Formats: sequence, C-alpha cells, structure tokens
Amino acid sequence: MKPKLLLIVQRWSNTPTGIMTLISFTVLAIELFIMGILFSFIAPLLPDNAPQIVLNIIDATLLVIAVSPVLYFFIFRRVSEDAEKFLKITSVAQDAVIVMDHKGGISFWNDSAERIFGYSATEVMGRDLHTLVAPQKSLNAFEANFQHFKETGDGPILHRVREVIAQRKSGEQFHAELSVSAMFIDGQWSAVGVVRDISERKRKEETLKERDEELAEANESLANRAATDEAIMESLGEGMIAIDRSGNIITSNRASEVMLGWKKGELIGKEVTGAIPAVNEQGEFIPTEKRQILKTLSSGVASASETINYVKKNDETIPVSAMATPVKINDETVGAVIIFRDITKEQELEVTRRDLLSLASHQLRTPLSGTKWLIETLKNKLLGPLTLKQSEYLDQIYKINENMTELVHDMLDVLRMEGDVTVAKKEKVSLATLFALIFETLNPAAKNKEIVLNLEKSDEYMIETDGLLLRQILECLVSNAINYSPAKSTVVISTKRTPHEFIFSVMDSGIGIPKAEQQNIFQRFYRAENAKTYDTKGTGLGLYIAATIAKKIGARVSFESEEGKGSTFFLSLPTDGKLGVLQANTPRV
Amino acid sequence: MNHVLIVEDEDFLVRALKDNLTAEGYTVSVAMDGEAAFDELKKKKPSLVLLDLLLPKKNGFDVLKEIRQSPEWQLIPVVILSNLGEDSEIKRALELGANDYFVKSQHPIQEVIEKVREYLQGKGSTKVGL
Repeated sequence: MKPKLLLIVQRWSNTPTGIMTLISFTVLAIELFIMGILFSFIAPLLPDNAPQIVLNIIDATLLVIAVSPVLYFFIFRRVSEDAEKFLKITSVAQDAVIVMDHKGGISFWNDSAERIFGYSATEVMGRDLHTLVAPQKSLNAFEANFQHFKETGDGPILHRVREVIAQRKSGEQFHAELSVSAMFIDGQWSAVGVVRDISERKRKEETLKERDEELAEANESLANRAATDEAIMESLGEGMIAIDRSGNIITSNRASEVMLGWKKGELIGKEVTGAIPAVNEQGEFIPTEKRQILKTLSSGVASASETINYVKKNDETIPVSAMATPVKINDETVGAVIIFRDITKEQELEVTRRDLLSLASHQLRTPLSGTKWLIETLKNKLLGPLTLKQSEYLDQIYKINENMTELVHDMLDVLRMEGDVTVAKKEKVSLATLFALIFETLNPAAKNKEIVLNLEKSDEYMIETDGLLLRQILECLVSNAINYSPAKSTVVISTKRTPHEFIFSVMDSGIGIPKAEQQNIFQRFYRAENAKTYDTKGTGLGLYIAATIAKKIGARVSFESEEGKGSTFFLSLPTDGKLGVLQANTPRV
Repeated sequence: MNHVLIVEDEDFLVRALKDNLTAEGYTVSVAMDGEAAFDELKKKKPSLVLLDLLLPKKNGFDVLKEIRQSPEWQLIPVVILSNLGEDSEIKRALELGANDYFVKSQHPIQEVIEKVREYLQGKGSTKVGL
C-alpha cells in the first residue's frame, strides 16, 4: 500500500498538467545549469573593455533564459489544461471516442470506449483499430477506403453519422452509430471516431416495430371483421335498423332500404318512430309510446315478434313481422336493434289457406250434417215407427257418421293450427267462467257415463292468456278423462298456483297409458293399444292438438299414468310472475 | 200459425228441416238460392228465417244484410245454419245482424228446432252455438 500523498502525486503527474509542470521544472533546472556554465565560463572570457552593448545583450539573453521556463510553464499550462479538459470531457462522454493514427493504429481510447468495446486503453493502444472492433465482413471495405484517407484525409464515411455493426471484445456484435472526422496531426491524417452503442435503442425499436406490426395486424383483422359484419348485415334478407339510446337511427341495412324505400343516409340521425311510422290493421297510426322498439329501449327486454304495418317512403304500407332486441354494454342498454321481415307473401298465402280450409270444411261437413239430421229425423219417428232392427241399424250409421264428423273436425283443427301464423291473444280470463263453460260442454258426456266431474275448490283468479285456446286444451283433457274412464267413476279437476305457473290437473281413474307407449301419445294419430280397444272412435288427434295449442300459449302438457289405475294430465301455464290476480269476492264454481 | 222460411241449397238438409218443422206444427216455405229467398219473403212474410251462408246467386251474408236493411223484414229473427265454422265468419254474420249461428254438423237437428221454438215463443236470445 503506497502512502496516500504519493498516490495523489502519481495520479497528478499522469495528468497533462502534471506532466507539463514536471517538464517545465525540468527545463528550468536545465536552464539554471546552462546559466551557471555561462556565468562560470563566458564571464571571465569577456574583456574588461567589452562594449557596453555586448554586456547588455548578454544580460538580456541571460534574463530571457532565466524567465523562459516561467513563460514556458504558463504557456504549456494553458495547453495542458485544454488537453486535460478534452480528456475529462471524453472520459465522461457516453460515446466512445477513439483516435486512429495514419497507420490505422489506436492512439486514443476513452473510458466509454472501454465500457462499450470491453478493451482497456492500455490493451488497445497502438493496435490496429479495425481488426479489433470491426466485424470480419466489413474489413475489406475499410481497407479499400483507408489508403485514400491516408493520402487525402477524406473518405465515404466522413462528415456524417451512419449506422454500423461493431464487435465487442466478447465477439458480440452490436448496432452502433459512428461519426468520423479527419484530423491533420504531425503531417499525417488521423481519424477521430465517435461511436455510440445503439443496441438498446435498436432493441426497443425492434420491439416497437413488432408491436406496430401486431397493432397493424390487429387493426386489419378488426377492419376485416367490421367489413364482414357489415357485409353480413347488408346481405341479411331481413330488414335491420339500429338505434342509439335516444331512439335515433344509427344504421340500417340494404333489406330495410328495399322494404321501406329509405336509404341508410336518409335515415341516420332521425328519430326512429318519426322516420318509420307504423299503422295497425285498421290503418290507424300507432302512437310513439306504444312502438315496440321504444319499449325495448326503455325496458331493456327483447320484444316478442309482432305483426305490424310500416309506412314506407312512398306512404304505402308494408306488413312486417318485427322483433326488437336491446343492445347492452356492461348490462346497460345503449340502444336497440329491430329486425323485420316482409310478410306480404305470407299474408296472401294465409288468406288462400283460410279460403281453402273454409271451403274444405264446408264441403266435408255438409254431407255429414245432412246424414246426421236425416237419421235424427228418422230416429225421432217423425216418419213413423221403426222396428227394433231398423233402430239398431240407424244407431250404427249414426255413430259412424258422428265418428266421421269428429275426425273431420279434428283434422281441420290440425290443418288450421299448423298453418296458423296468428299470435295467441292475451286477454283476462276468469277461472270461474272458464270452468263453467267447460262443464257446460262436457257435462252431458259425463252424465251419459254417470261420471262425476269434480272441480276442487280453489281461489278465483284472473289470468292473462288466450281464453279460447286454454279452454280447448282443458276440454280435450277432460273429454279424454271421460272417454277413457269406467262408468260411475270420478274425474277430478284442480288448479294450483306456483310462483311462476298455473298448473291445471285432470285426474281420472281410467285405463291409464301403458309405460312403453307413454312417449308416443302426443304424436299425431297415435293411439295406445288399450285405448284402441277401449274406445273405438278416437281419432288420435286430441292430445296432439292439445299439446300444439299449449305450445302456442306458452304452456306445456305433461302427465303421470299407470296402466289400469288411471292418468293425471297437467297443463302448466307460465304466469310471467305478474299474472294471476286473486279476485277476492267472486263466487266460486 | 208461425211460418218459417228455409234458405238452403242442399236438398237433403231442406227435407230434414222441413219434416221436423212441419211436425212441430209450423208452416214452411223454401228458397234454394239467395235471390229466391226474397221472392219467398215477398210472397209470405215469415216469423223466422233459417239461412245458409254459401248459396247460389246471392250468398247468405248479402241476404242477411238486405233483410236487416229492409224496413219490412228487419225485425225477423234470422238463424244462420252453416257449415262455415271459422271465427271470422261467425263474427261477420253476427255483426250483420244474425240472431244465432249453428255449425250444422255439430248440432243435432233437435237443437235447431228447439231454438226455433224459443224464438217463436218469444224466448229467443242471441247466443252462439258452436
């Protein structure tokens, strides 16, 4: 361990100032020595009468010699300070500062050069710069240009910043920015190079570039998707109009233009019910607050599809089946979409179908009713008494005719139902009234078999549904119970209200349905084996019709049955939670 | 004596109705098409009309409409006997002023006769028999 002071002196003596100071003092010492010699040898040689001028010259010379080291010191101090400043600056610089002499050897190598390239200054001093720091492949280009540089101080890489690949001691190659200037020193051209390690920046740039590419790709795929969505929307055969949360139209598709006559550009920004008025079947305008799209917008609930007439641009109307759906973002309704379909053709077909049905039913029923009435007239003995045998025959014919009538009736029901596009009605139906009607219809049939129809006591409710359809289903279930139960038995009809449903049940103690056939009994024309032998006149359509109608009013028919013990049929009618109002003081059936 | 006009184009239905009404003690006249109905109306004003809807020459709806518009006949009860059984058809007939509507194939003839009796005894009330 050297003494601290010595270290400081050593370090100082290595700096330009230190060197210059030492040199100055050395020169001073030499001069003092020369002066001593001069005084010792020259002075005695001078003649006594030497002219004054010579003495003065010698004095002046001596004075100059004496003072010169001081001047020398001050002049060089200034130079050394500049050099030191340069060194300091280059050492703190972030960039590598390298000087290459006219032979291509390294003559200066700052701290950053050490850091960037991994070589220390002492390691590289005097060694060939390019073999150390340039990758193999760029050496040729350097050599071609170097000769020219040596002679002229000029070359293609001078006076501008360029990106190059450089090589560290470790062999690792990296991106660098290089600027080179020429310097004329001692009659030779040297080069000063400033090298900046930009590998980090490059890496970042690469990452950024990759991200940019990814972004561009994502944008492209988004744009593609938007274009696809748009194309899908445009190619939809159904009209589509979307509105924002204030009810203004934000877009519409081609089909809606074809149907309504309004181009997208003409609709955008307009309030939807004003832009596209609607009328009911009677041609009366439907008030804004009753339009389904606005209801959907305010409730956030999709509407059921409804048949409505839109007023076109040319003031004609077009019948459509329309459905509105809310557009939600994070559970908040931000708009709505209405999809609508032109049903002109369907309505025309419906008219044709109804005409045909009406005609068919008339044509089939007329001979059946004629036969019926003629037999009844005979049986009522209006035309004279009948023998027992005649009476039996007439009964037989009558029964056949009645079966045929029922079959025609059921088949027409099926035809009507299957093609029916009309929506089930929603009306307030009183349970008491409903059961009164059902009993009135079916009591005669029950009495014929001495079957008791027993309605379990329940609260009186008003429910909202299609009363006629509900009645038709229940009549079918009760009628089946009567038909397939033994004489003098009881059929129990009851209602139960659950939070979401009304459940009607019809329980008999009849023949029941064999297990193996239970899955088939809602099929068209299907009759269980035991039913076929028990009652020959069934059509196999009753339950099919009941189940189909049930579907139409949103209800469901199900059953539990054991062969030989009886069946219980259930009709479950959803109440949407809001239906089924208890009527407190209404008489019960 | 009460007189009933049957407007019906099917011969066998006419026969059944005529025999039953006669047995009840009513006199009966028959028109086989819509225009003939008015000839019969003019000949003898009936106490009640049994009217089919699908008829030659003039359909039952038009016959009904004309009866209801005529000062002379507008108070005569008209009972529709038809095999048209669609809701819309029944509704239309009732709106035009029919007193009753029977889908023929679904009712015994005795029910029709009883209905006639009700009207002619002044007890008839409008009710649709389906």
